[in-house]
Amino acid sequence: MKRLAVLAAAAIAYVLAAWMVTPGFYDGFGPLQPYNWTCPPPQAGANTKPSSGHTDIKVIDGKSDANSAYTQDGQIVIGFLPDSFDAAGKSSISVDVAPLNTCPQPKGVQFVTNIYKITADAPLKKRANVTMLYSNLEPHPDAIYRADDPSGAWTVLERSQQGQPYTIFASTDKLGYFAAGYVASSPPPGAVTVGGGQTLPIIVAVLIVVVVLAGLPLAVMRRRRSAAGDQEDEEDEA
Amino acid sequence: MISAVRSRSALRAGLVASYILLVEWTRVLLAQDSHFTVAALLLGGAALAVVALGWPANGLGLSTSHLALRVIGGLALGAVLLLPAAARSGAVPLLPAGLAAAAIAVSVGEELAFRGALYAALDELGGAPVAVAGSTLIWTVAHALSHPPEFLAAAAIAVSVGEELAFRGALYAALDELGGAPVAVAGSTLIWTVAHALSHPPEFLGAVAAAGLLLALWRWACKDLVAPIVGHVVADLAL
Repeated sequence: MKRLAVLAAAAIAYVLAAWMVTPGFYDGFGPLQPYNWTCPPPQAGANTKPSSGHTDIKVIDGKSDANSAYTQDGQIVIGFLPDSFDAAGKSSISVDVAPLNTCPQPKGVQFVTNIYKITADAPLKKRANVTMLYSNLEPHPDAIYRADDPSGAWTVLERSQQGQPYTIFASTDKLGYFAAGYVASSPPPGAVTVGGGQTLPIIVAVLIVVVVLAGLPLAVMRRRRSAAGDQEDEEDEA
Repeated sequence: MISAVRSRSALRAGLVASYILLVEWTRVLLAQDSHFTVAALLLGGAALAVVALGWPANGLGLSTSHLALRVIGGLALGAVLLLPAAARSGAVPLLPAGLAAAAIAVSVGEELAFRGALYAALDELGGAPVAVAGSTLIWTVAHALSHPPEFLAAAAIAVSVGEELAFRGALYAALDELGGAPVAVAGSTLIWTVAHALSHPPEFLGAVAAAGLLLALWRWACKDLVAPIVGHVVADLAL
């Protein structure tokens, strides 16, 4: 029983220790470089402000060239195929990428990246590919969202499946505001309420009981084996 | 006599701990280059598992007796490891079934291809050294070029299993031999935490240590490594 009590205490200690850091402990792979936040989470430590970027895309024979625009820190990249823009009467297309200075969180969506505004001086004709990096300090996003106005409606973009660690891909037929996040059907991370605020302690208690119950048969068997071993030793010695 | 045995045990524990730290830190540093992320995880997992070679299965806590109980214990451990993240994240998709299934399919398929057919062909060509070196080389090249989520998941499985065999398997056994259970639990937790210092921000090391302690105490209380392996794999796949 002593062993099980120690085990249960360790489970409680782990839950408390992991609860103190968002997103609640992780393991596995980290991103290649720290994320530059507009609004850093408390555990981010030293933070560098996110950078912006600018690209001029050549127009050759009335068609825009293939090119990409990205911020200097590489946290967002948008790639354009040849003839992606309506370039009538232009010799080049100017594309700007800039992080938004604020961090609005629309209802129903939890963003885990900065919001970036991508603008061009010509409308898009073809879909463009958006790649966003995200941090290991927040939960993984499941989509990239786009909006015409950051305080307006956000729409989910079609997501590509392949990806490198801590990178999310999607394609878009419009420019505007972009951010990666997930559907928040519950209060945002940090709000310590699950199902009305009383569920978490119950879940913790149930899980501790599960661990203890799962360990009980193994511990009892081990004890029996040890006892049997001791008896055999005594018999051998006799 | 006793001091000679103790010094030999201390030497062995020190070598095992040093090797594990070297592999873990090398793996983390290599993984910082995006081209080698998956290769570093897969090879790192394999290199960690190597340290368990030579130990009797029982000494490592590995056994097929009461396997169902061990697996259930592992799932419970996985649930505890995931609880804080799951409760905080709300609607974050944890352990998507499709990805987990794909990871298992890829893992099985890869084993049949690399360690099965390719190994056999190379073994026929030049014996075991050629088979081991060749299949490892082609495996690494194959993973260096691209790593879709299925491969990342397979890599997560490799690292989790490797880490458990190393920390709660060989290192625990070596430290247990040196100074009994208290030394094994405390020592394996300490080395586990230090090993993760390069890959985790300092704020996370308390949680890392607590997870290591929980897994080591399970190993001590139940003399079992199967549950820590299952729990670690489940947690890493989901996170």
